[in-house]
Amino acid sequence: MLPAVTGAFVLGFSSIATGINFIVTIHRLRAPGMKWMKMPLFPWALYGTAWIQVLATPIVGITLLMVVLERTLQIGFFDPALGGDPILYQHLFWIYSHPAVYIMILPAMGVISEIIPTFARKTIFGYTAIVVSTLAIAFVGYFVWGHHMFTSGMSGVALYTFSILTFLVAIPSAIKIFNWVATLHKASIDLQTPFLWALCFLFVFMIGGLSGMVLGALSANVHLHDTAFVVAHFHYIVFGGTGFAFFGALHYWFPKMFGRMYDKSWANIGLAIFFTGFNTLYLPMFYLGITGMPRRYYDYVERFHGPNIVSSMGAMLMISGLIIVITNLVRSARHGAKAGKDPWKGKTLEWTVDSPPSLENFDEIPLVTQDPYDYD
Amino acid sequence: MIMTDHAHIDEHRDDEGAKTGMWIFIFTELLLFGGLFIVYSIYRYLNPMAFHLAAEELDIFIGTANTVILLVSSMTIAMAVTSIQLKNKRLTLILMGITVCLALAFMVNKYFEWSGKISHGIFPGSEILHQSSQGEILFFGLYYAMTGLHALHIIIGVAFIAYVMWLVKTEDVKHDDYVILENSALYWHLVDLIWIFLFPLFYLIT
Repeated sequence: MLPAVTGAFVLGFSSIATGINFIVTIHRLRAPGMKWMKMPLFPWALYGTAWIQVLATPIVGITLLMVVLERTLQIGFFDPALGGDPILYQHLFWIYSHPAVYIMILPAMGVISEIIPTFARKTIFGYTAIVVSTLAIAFVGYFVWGHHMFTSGMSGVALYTFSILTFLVAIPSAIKIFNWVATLHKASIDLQTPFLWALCFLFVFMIGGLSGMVLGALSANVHLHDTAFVVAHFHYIVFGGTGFAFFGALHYWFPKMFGRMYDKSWANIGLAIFFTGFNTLYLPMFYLGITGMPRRYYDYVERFHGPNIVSSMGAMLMISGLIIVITNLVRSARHGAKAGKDPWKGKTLEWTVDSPPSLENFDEIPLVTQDPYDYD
Repeated sequence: MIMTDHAHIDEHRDDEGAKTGMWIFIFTELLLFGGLFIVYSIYRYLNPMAFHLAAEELDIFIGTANTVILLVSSMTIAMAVTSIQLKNKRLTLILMGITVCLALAFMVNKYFEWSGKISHGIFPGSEILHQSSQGEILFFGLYYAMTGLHALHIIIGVAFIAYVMWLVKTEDVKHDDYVILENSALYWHLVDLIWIFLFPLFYLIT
């Protein structure tokens, strides 16, 4: 266990270093003319993410260090046998680990904010609201860790506070959803693969987010705590949200990275299978959780058999979709049709340089005069 | 922050950025110790009497001496930054040398303090500590963990300053390019600042 904890500590260091790097880079190295409110939404999302990395990671760093000291020198921080308090460990762990899920989802939200205006051929609806909600998620997300511990033992005041804060943090996420959907209103949409991934993101992220509200409610949480419902919620957000945005981003910037196009029909077939498999895999878990199946068990009573079989079949379907998607990307990186500078008619700066970009990206430093999604 | 110049685009140098990064890093260090301060305050709140009794075991004289040593070393490293700006390389090296010596003096004091405690049988997992109350065991656990982590920062700070001394000597750091010296000084002030909090928490509040 000590090597694992030490490894996680080292990883924390790299996370902090990355956060500092992104904050300083975004403060200091924006192109001439790129004011804060002219910055594309993906770097804005990375900026919020970087602050969470910087603010939250040291707490888990010191916690892991305390675990190492407890195990090597018998200093009783958390072990009741040595005089420590295990609930204190839970608090310190979640002070980092809840913001950590926002480290995973914020960049995904940034990707969606890039893909949607590009394929809607339209400026994003509510740019400022998306920026503010990004920072609000980073800020409020720091104060909701207690909702992982509703059944661990906490005062009533603490329970209500963490519950209401959890509901509050849903508001900025919902603002983003409304903005993305509003951007699509009366847009001339180009149904390319990255856009389809973004649409799937909207679908699964809404299911994940709303099921999070169910878990944030105190009474429902007591019933659903440690059941498969939590597993379903978590995967709809972190796999559905982040995963779909990740593959959307891969397809979106693939031509820029490799100078070649992926095969569109295989990409779409892969996505369709993946999306179907994903929902078949995780939807039954909501049902299983509500009817009482605990998480982290490989075995179960007879009445949970049916949904578990459906879920397993969904897993296999999803993996076949994943194999198609990845094989297509790997093959296309070498054999795809040549991509120009701007295959999507995007407006942000990366589409003005060669695909793949030359050394140091820009032969001539660009001067930014327009808003990032200026399609009018 | 305002983009003042674009010189860094060609020569890959941005002093303002380097300092911004250092300040944020120092902030994360404060949060790192902040975790320990939280644990300390919770256990102090739960075991007020035991913490009171245990704190009386610590030697206020050594603690005070080390506080003075660190405060003076913070001053000498700040003076080193000023003297490099005044193009006085010799004085810079002398002041940095004094800083390193003071840090080593701090570590020598720490060595005698810890070895004294250990010879009296006060260390985590010892027989004598096992017979004390849980609060006292926690106090000394926290004492060794927090001052130990701080001592580790002293060692890192000394290595950092010694490295910058070498850069000053080879004139890679000079009057118009000294941001790494400033950053090492910032780091040293952080090490000092953390001690300023550790000293009252363990030695003075009894």
